[in-house]
Amino acid sequence: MTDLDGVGVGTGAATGPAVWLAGPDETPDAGPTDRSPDAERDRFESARARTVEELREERDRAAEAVGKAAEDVLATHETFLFDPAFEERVEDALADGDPAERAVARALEDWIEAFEETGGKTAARADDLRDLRGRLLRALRGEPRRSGEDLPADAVVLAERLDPGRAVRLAAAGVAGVATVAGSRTGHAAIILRSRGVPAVVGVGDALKAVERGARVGVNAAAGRVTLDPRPDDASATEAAAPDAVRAASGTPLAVTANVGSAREAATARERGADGVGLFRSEFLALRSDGVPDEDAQTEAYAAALDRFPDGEVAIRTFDFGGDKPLPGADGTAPRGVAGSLAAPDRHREQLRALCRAAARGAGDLTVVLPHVTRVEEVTAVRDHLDAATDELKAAGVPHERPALGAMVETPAAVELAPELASRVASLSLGTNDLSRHVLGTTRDADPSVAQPAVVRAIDRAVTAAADAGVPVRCCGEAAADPEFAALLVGLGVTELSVAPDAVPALKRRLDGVDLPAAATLAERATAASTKSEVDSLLNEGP
Amino acid sequence: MTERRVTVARETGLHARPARAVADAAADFDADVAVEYDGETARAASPLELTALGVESGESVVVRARGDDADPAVEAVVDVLVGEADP
Repeated sequence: MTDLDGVGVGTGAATGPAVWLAGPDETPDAGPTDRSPDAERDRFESARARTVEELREERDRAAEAVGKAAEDVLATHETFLFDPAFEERVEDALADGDPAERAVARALEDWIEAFEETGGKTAARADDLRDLRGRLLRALRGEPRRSGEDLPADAVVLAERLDPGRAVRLAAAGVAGVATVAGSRTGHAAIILRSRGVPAVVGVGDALKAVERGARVGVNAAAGRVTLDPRPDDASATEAAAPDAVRAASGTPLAVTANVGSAREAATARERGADGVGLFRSEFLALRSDGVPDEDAQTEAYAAALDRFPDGEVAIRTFDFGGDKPLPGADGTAPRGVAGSLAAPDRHREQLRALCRAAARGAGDLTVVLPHVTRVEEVTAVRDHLDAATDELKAAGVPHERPALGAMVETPAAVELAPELASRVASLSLGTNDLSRHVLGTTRDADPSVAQPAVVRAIDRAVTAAADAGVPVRCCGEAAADPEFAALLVGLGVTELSVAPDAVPALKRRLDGVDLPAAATLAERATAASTKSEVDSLLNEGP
Repeated sequence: MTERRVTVARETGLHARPARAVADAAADFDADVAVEYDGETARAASPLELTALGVESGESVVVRARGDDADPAVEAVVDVLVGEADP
């Protein structure tokens, strides 16, 4: 057993077989070109256009699969492609007769060196430019786009260094952990891994290179340590214990569940101590495989997630395509959320049948959650489809069970209709990311803070409506992972917080023994606040 | 020419994402806007040049602009730099 020290990213720990990622081939074609500068300019423009397309597609998927951090990073990469300083250097090289490959590689190499010479956080941004260089060179060579990495389950991924694009793919694939020879805690790759709860240790140094593929490796992000061949009972490879069952000081139970996109992530959530799944983003099944899986494959995926929580609840959101997450190959004008499902009744009915079959097969309790609800009729229509689906299964003699129905509150319309929705469903789910954006009327690139009074009041109205109807409310937005905002949510009346698997232990530790009357007083003051800074001050006080 | 000295309040300083926000803010105006730090000058329109300045949170920079919209352009860029939250 050998320990290697590096810089920890995040708080989790993981053990698994080591898999090395090959470094990208970034060598520009060195030979002279017989093409004219104009021809090379055209090649550059084509490569840039292809790279923009690649980044935008990746950004849309990353937004949902990984989160806002990844979305922001990829949006910034696109900006760099049109940076006047970059364009000038490429243009000068092309005018001098360089082939486009060399012009691009040299221009970005100059900036990589400049960033690294500056040091500090700027040096960490050099990996963003390496990512872009790799994308542009692949486009110029006509090479295929980088596809998903073929990784064994629970792999610990080792790499010389990790660029943000690769971090997005690894985070979306749900790898167990990551360790790199070089890298920084403030690099975008690290930010993406942390946001997705993938434990990582970066900047381990050349000693990491001695680790062979397949070797068992432990990664402890909290300690910043990589352990080669850890003993099975090695406590250092596991994170600090969190309470199994969270209770407020008064004894009221609180659930901390996980947001996942696959049965595999549900297994990770279980390992991290989640009480269940508060949000299973079913559209990931399609986004990861470039198409909607058939009914049997969906049934398998849902039942496998339920089996991870035999005593818990798994809330599976119906497909939330549309908007910034179009179904691959589909018409981009399709409505999003439950409206999109209702516009594709065959696909919707197939998903409901898969959910009913999984509810009968899987061990845990299943709740079907409807995304982006804006009208009461949508709930009624889904209920009719659910009736039809169960009738079909019954007639065919297929074992099934009718799952509970829940609705997402992530639009101002759903807040307005919260009393009517709560009287028709078994639970409400607050999607605070979208709710903040829609309440504040911000664009997707802006920073819609949940601490804005208008958002806090919208949440309060929805929770109050649910309480009046005797319906529980879970929160499955990023806000739930902020321990102080989570305490505020509990004060407002939320009883289940669903977060990234890696955030589960810390949130459990924060909420266990929380003083509910104090949290309720804090929530009352926050709801009465007029400015974000007032809400922020209250959050700093904490219950 | 309009000129203002401000302290960068962005939690992560002026790197990549905040630099993009500065470039976006400056793009709305008919003015050539520049940010000067530690003897180096970057065009506000260039996130690469802005990032390469290496400005950390709490450090002081000078924002300059020439052109018809120099005044509002400086004001818009300053608003981004003195905002506390990262974009």
